[in-house]
Amino acid sequence: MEEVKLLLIRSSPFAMSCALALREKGIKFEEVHENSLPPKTDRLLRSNPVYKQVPVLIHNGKPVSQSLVILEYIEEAWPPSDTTPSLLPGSAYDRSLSRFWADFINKKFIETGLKLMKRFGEEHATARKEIVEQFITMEEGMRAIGSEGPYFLGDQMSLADVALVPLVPWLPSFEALGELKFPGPEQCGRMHKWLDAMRELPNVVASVPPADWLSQYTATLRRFIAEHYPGGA
Amino acid sequence: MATEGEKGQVKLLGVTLSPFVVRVCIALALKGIDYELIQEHFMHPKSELLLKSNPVHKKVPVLIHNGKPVCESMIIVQYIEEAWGNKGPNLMPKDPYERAIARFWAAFVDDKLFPSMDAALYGPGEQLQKAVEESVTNFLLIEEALRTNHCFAGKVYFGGDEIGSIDIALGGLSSFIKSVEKATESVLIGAEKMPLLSAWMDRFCKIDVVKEVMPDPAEYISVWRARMISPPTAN
Repeated sequence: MEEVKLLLIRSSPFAMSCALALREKGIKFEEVHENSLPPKTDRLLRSNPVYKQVPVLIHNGKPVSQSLVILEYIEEAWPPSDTTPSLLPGSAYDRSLSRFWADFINKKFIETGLKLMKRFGEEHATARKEIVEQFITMEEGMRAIGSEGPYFLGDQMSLADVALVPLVPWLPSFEALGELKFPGPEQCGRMHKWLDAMRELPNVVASVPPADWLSQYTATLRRFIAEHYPGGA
Repeated sequence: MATEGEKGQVKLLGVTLSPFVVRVCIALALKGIDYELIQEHFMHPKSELLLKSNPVHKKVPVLIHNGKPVCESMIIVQYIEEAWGNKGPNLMPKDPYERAIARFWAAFVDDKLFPSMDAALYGPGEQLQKAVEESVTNFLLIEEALRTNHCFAGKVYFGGDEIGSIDIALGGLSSFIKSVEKATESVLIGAEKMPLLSAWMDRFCKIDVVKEVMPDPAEYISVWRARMISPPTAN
C-alpha cells in the first residue's frame, strides 16, 4: 500500500504547487498541516533538517524537500503512462524551457512576492517594482515561446504552470501588500489567459486556498511581522 | 565520437572563469560533445548574442544547440544528459529518489553555499566573519551528507565510481572555493573537520577532464581585486 504525505501550511505557495502536481497525477495523498508560526514540529525538523520548512513530500516514509525537487520527483516516481499524465513535455529543449520558467517563478517571482509581505522600507519598495517587471517578463516569455497557450508551453500543463499556480490565490494579496496593480489583459494577454484557464480547473481549486481568505491572512501576518520583526522577516 | 558538423551545432556562451560555465564544460567533456566556446568577458559590456540568448537573466553560461538557447547551468547539465542520452556516461542516477537527492544537493550549492561564499567575498567587511562561518556551516552539512546518506557512503564520488551531477555542481566551484579561502584568509574545507569532503575535492581536481577546464584560483583573485576596486554596475 503506497503512502504519500505532503507536509504543508495553507498559505505556502510552494506547497500549493506540490499539491497540484500530485492531483494532476491522480495520486492519493494525506495533507499534513504544519504550524504556520513557531515552534516547528519534530516531524518537520526530522524530515527537512537542512531547510526546516514546508513543503516536504514523504513517499513511503522517505522525505523529499524543496518544491522544484519535489515536482521533478513526482514526475519521475509516477511516470507518464496511458493513465498518468506527464508534467513535462517530450523534447529535451521544451523540458529545459519548462524548468527554466519554473526556476524563474520560484526563485524570482514568488520570492519577490513574499518580500511584499515580509519586508519593509527600501526592500519593500524594490520588491513592489520588481514584481510587476517579473510579471511582464513572464508575459514576454510566454509570447517568445510562441504557443497560443493557455499554458506556458501550449495546451498541456507543465512544471512552469505548476510552479506559477500560487499566483491564482496570491494575486490579490500581492496587489494589496504591494499597493500595486498588475498589468491587465490588454498589456499581458497571455498571463490573463493563463489565470482564467487555471482558475477553472478543479485540481487547482482543490490545491489552493480561497483568494479572500489568503488576502485576510497575509494582511494579518504582515501586521504581526511589523510588530514583532520590524526589521523584516 | 562527435558527429560531423556537431561542433557548429553546439556553442557555449561563457566566461571560462565562471564556476557555472566550468560545470557545463565538464558535462560536455564527459559526454564527448564538441562545441565552440564563445567568450564573454568579465568587466566588459555584455554581447548582443548574450542579451538576445538570455534576455531574462543576461548571464552566462548559455548553451546554444542548433540555434536554441538553454540557460542556467544545472538546467543545461540536465539538458545535456537528456539531449545526448545515449552518449557517454549517465550524469544522474536512474532511481527517482536518488535523482531527487542529486537535485536537492545541487540546488543546495546554488541556493545556500554559493551565496554565502559570494557574501564572504563581496559583502560588507563587518559581515565577513559571519559569511565565512555560514559558508563553513554549509560545507559541514555536505560533509554530513557524505557521511550518513546511503547514496554516498563509501563511494568514490557523489555519483558513485564516476562523477555525476552533484560532483559537477559542487566541483565546478573548486577553484572558486580555494580563491575565497585565500581572499578571506580562512579555511572553508579543512581536512580535520571535513575529511570526506576534502578527500573528495582532491580526487575531483585530479580528474583529466576537470584539470583541462578548471581555472587557476589565482585568476579568481585577480578578478576579485579588480572588482573590489571598481564594482560592476550591473551583474
